[in-house]
Amino acid sequence: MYLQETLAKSPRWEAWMELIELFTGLFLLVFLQFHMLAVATIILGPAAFNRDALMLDEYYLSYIGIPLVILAIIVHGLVALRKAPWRYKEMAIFIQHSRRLAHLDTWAWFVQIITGMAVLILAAIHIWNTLSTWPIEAAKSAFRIQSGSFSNLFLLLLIAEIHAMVGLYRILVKWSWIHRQKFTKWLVYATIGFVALGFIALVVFYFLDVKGLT
Amino acid sequence: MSRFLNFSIFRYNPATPEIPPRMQDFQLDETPNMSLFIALNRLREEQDPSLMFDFVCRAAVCGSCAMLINGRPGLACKTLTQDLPDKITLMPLPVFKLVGDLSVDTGVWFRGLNENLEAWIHTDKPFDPQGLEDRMDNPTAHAIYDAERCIECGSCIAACATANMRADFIGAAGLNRVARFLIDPRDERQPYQVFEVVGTDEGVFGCIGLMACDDICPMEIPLQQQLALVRRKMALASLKGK
Amino acid sequence: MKWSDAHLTDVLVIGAGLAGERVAIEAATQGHQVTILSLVPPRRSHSTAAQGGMQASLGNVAMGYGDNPDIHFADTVKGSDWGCDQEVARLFCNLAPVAVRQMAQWGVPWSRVVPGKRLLPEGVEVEELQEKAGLIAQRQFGGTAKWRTCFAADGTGHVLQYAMDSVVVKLGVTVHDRMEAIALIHDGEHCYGAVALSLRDGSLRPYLAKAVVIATGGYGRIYGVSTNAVINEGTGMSICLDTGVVPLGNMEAVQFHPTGIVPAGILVTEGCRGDGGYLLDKNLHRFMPDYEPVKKEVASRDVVSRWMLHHMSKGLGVDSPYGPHLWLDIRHLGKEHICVNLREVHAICANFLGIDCVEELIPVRPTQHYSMGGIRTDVNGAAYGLQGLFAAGEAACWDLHGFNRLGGNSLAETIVAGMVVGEQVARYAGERSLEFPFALVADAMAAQEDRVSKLRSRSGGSEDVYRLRKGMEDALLNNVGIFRTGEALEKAVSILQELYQRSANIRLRSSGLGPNPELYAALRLPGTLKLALCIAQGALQRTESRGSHYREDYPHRDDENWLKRTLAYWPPGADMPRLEYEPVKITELPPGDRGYGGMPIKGD
Ligand SMILES: Cc1cc2nc3c(=O)[nH]c(=O)nc-3n(C[C@H](O)[C@H](O)[C@H](O)COP(=O)(O)OP(=O)(O)OC[C@H]3O[C@@H](n4cnc5c(N)ncnc54)[C@H](O)[C@@H]3O)c2cc1C
Ligand code: HEM
Ligand code: HEM
Ligand code: SF4
Ligand code: F3S
Ligand code: FES
Repeated sequence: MYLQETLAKSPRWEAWMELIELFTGLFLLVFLQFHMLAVATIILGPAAFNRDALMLDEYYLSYIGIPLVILAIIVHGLVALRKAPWRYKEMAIFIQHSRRLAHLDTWAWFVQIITGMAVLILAAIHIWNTLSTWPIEAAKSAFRIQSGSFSNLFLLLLIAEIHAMVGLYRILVKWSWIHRQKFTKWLVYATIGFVALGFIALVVFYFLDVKGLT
Repeated sequence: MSRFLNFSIFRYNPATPEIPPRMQDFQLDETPNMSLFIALNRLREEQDPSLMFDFVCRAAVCGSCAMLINGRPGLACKTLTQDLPDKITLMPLPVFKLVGDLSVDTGVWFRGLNENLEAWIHTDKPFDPQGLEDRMDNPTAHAIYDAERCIECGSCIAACATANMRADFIGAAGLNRVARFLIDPRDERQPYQVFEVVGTDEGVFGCIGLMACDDICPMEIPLQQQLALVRRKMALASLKGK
Repeated sequence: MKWSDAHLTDVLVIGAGLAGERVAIEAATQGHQVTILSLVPPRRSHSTAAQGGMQASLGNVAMGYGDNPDIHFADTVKGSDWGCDQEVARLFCNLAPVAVRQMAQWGVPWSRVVPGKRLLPEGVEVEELQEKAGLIAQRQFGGTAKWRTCFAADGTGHVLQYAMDSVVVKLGVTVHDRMEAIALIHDGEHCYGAVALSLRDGSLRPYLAKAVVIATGGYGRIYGVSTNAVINEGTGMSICLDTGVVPLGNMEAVQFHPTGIVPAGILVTEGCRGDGGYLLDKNLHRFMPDYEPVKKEVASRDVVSRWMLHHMSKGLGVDSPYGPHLWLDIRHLGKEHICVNLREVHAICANFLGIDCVEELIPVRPTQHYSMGGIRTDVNGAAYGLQGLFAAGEAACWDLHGFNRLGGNSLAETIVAGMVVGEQVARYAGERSLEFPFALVADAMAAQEDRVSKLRSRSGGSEDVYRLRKGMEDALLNNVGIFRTGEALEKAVSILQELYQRSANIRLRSSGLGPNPELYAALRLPGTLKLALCIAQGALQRTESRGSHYREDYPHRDDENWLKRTLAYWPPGADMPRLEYEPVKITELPPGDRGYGGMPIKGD
């Protein structure tokens, strides 16, 4: 027992941080996948996409939802990164250890940290873009995508989905009573599904006739 | 088809600090059904009698002989050379204090852990030498036994990146030990009573779910489930309070 | 030596197995300061390897109803072939149930009775009664009239040791692991402590105490092929023998377990046969009923082992690169039973044989397993010859087992003896004050320091420690095994004598600095050779067959001449043990027929 640690220790908070990480993660996961489905309505046509966007607007979902998502991202990021190997020595130990061990789940955590930070940057740009051309309309989106955002969004898609699904895997591993082997396969399928859907949506945007819409 | 095995073994003797830690190479012909127990003993008897390593039961029940075998923690006594490539690298477990060569001090570490966790049955019931034993249903006994099978080999600790980075983390073996007492009806402690030690970043919330422990445990203890159980109980205790 | 290095304590327990820890707990709860020394962390002691179980006459299961300490007593005495001390056996049988129940309170997850009907492999249907539901379950072991062996799946020793050590941790008992006692400090009358060698760095340190307890387990490893852990070299016995005044009892009584796997020699538990497993020969014929129509595979160990060797000598063993063996068949017990109650067996077969015992046969052969002999003590655990010296567990010859130990009686012995001896140790320590006999300590330390530095200087002869060791193992294995003859025993004695002389001329190949295994081996070897000589010489002199000691040239038990216990002393400077004999105490059950193991049985 050391004085400084005893005074600084608040076990309640250590538990609550873990719960905050869990719930913000889950919340963002649910948001992301709904968001992917919503964006994917473009496949059904610009009309469907616009109707959805309008609906969210009408019921004020955007006005509550968007700030909430932004808040969640910030809180989630701060909490989730609290255990990352920030100090050089920790990082060196981690890398050395993981290379020696050659163990997938251990690397997955590292992937989680890297993708998380990448998402932070890419999503910030992306959200800024959408909000600056508010409200959401198929034409505006298509225009953005055709004028250079395609690759950025695809990267975001890939990274965000990996981060979210690895995150879900890790939540199930840490909290559930189901053995890992039973759900790993399904999570991989789901990830591929969402990425494929998102990719198709992006392609549809890419070939959408922007002039025809405006 | 007998092979020549190339061993690369970590050497360091604290009594001769002027010779720095190094990897030393040995060659040995393979015999049928050869385990690392047999191989290391032959190396010691035939080539270098100063080679340090620990075996006790040589039957995978005592937990003495865990080491890094080609980078992964495992029990040397139950590792057959036929399951390994002909280049075999042996190193002592990380995290634990080095005694010399492949030998590390797991005993003191685990004693400290068990003191820290107060890993014994807490009960106020006096023992009545004349009375019958308290009844317990067999599935409960088996559930306790499942967790109790840990042989304190330290493999899960050595395999865990968190334990490697943070000296005060109690690791999967510690958390499994907690689970064992949480499911034991004879132990009168409630979850909140172990919360100070276990519901923290040195305890279960220090575990970030890397699962190397679960993949590597030579006793195949269902560590994923045990850790999740403790995590749920501790999270609940943090919400409920006393 | 610095005097400040000396460690002072009320009670010094050498050995942290079940016996040692139980003694320590008893002494500590009675207010003494206790220090335990051990070669390894307590939870790695050999006790953890016991799989099968621990006998206590609870009478909880259908096949055990009506059991009581009297029946347990009769089984034990018959098992010992009337070689045991009946006063000790009585005390033991009465206390065993208390020991089991106390261990339950301390956390052992004993398997429990599940009520309902079930079919035994033999085709008999039994019903477990509702009123016994949830009590401690019991299984059958060899040589018992009732099912009496309490178990926790098949990791009984493991869970016992962990529960025991948890109490040691709770009480805050000091444990110095990687500390090997290499000599006792004594003046020929009193024992004052021990000189210990640190296996961490090769340094020496004196320990002083009011009472010293030896609980160092068996010596199986001197046989080379043994079910025992590699640390079981009997050093605790040999340091007692070194005093010249403490005798070892019945060293010729060596148990061979019927089912060590081939070639590794790892034990698969007697529970396999107790639960209904068969022994088969190369024609897959179940041969035990031919020899033992009543007890079949579950006669006592000495008997089953002998029949197995006998059967193999008729050419009915299975040939293998490692010599002939027999099969153990547990396939008919079913996957569920094997994977729950015989789980470690399943793992051992998978790890060391690469087979799945649910579907395949297990190659087995009788293998050295247990030492009935040891430091001779009275019923209180006080060693003969030195005051303040006690012994308990496998290291002791308390004499519960005589010439053959029943399976499951040894775990029970460690704990019951721990209770009884612990009580006496506590009382003894309470009556004495700690002494610091400077001259004695200095002498003892100097003698050991001298041995160590001589070895480190590498000035001695030219003998290689591992080569000598191998010679000892072979001599015992080939000549002092299950079937013994005067001729082979004489040969063993002369080989061992020569090796003992050569052991004075060991020269290390390595520097011997730091935690050096070659140095440790060289320090141990002369002592283990002495033990080997006690075994061989005791066996040579005992011209009868009793329990595990079977002389082909004297195939019958001879109560008239040999109803007595061998006491082996090693006079200072001698090159052979001096044997004396004492009568066996018969209080209740006069010598008779065991009801199994008809003699003679032919070896090869
Ligand atoms: C494979 C196997 C299975 C068995 N199964 C059963 C069973 O099912 N039922 C049953 O009743 N019995 C069984 N036995 C027998 C039983 O396990 C042992 O007899 C018993 O555990 C011995 O306990 P112990 O405390 O006397 O010694 P051990 O447990 O052997 O402990 C000895 C202790 O002494 C220490 N030590 C030794 N020498 C020194 C020294 N010089 N200085 C300091 N410390 C030292 C060691 O480190 C260790 O801590 C089995 C034995 C074997 C080999
Ligand atoms: C839409 C965006 C995001 C989603 C859906 C998401 C989802 C998740 C989920 C489900 C987890 C698992 C939570 C847990 O283990 O308890 C997780 C973990 C993590 N997230 Fe995110 N996250 C998002 C954004 C971010 C951002 C922006 C960052 C970083 C700045 C980040 C960093 C992390 C880290 C480091 C972890 C690992 C934490 C750990 O297990 O210790 N995430 N994320
Ligand atoms: C919170 C406010 C957000 C709004 C309003 C929003 C809105 C949109 C809109 C309108 C599109 C269509 C393309 C475009 O206009 O650029 C889109 C696409 C996309 N968004 Fe968001 N988004 C938000 C947050 C996020 C976050 C946090 C992420 C990831 C972590 C994300 C990931 C994506 C991806 C990957 C696409 C491409 C879709 C596809 O491939 O089908 N968005 N978003
Ligand atoms: S949990 Fe498994 S890996 Fe960890 S110490 Fe116990 S037996 Fe070894
Ligand atoms: S490897 Fe370590 S981080 Fe947790 S899941 Fe196992 S203890
Ligand atoms: S030596 Fe006991 S586990 Fe390997």
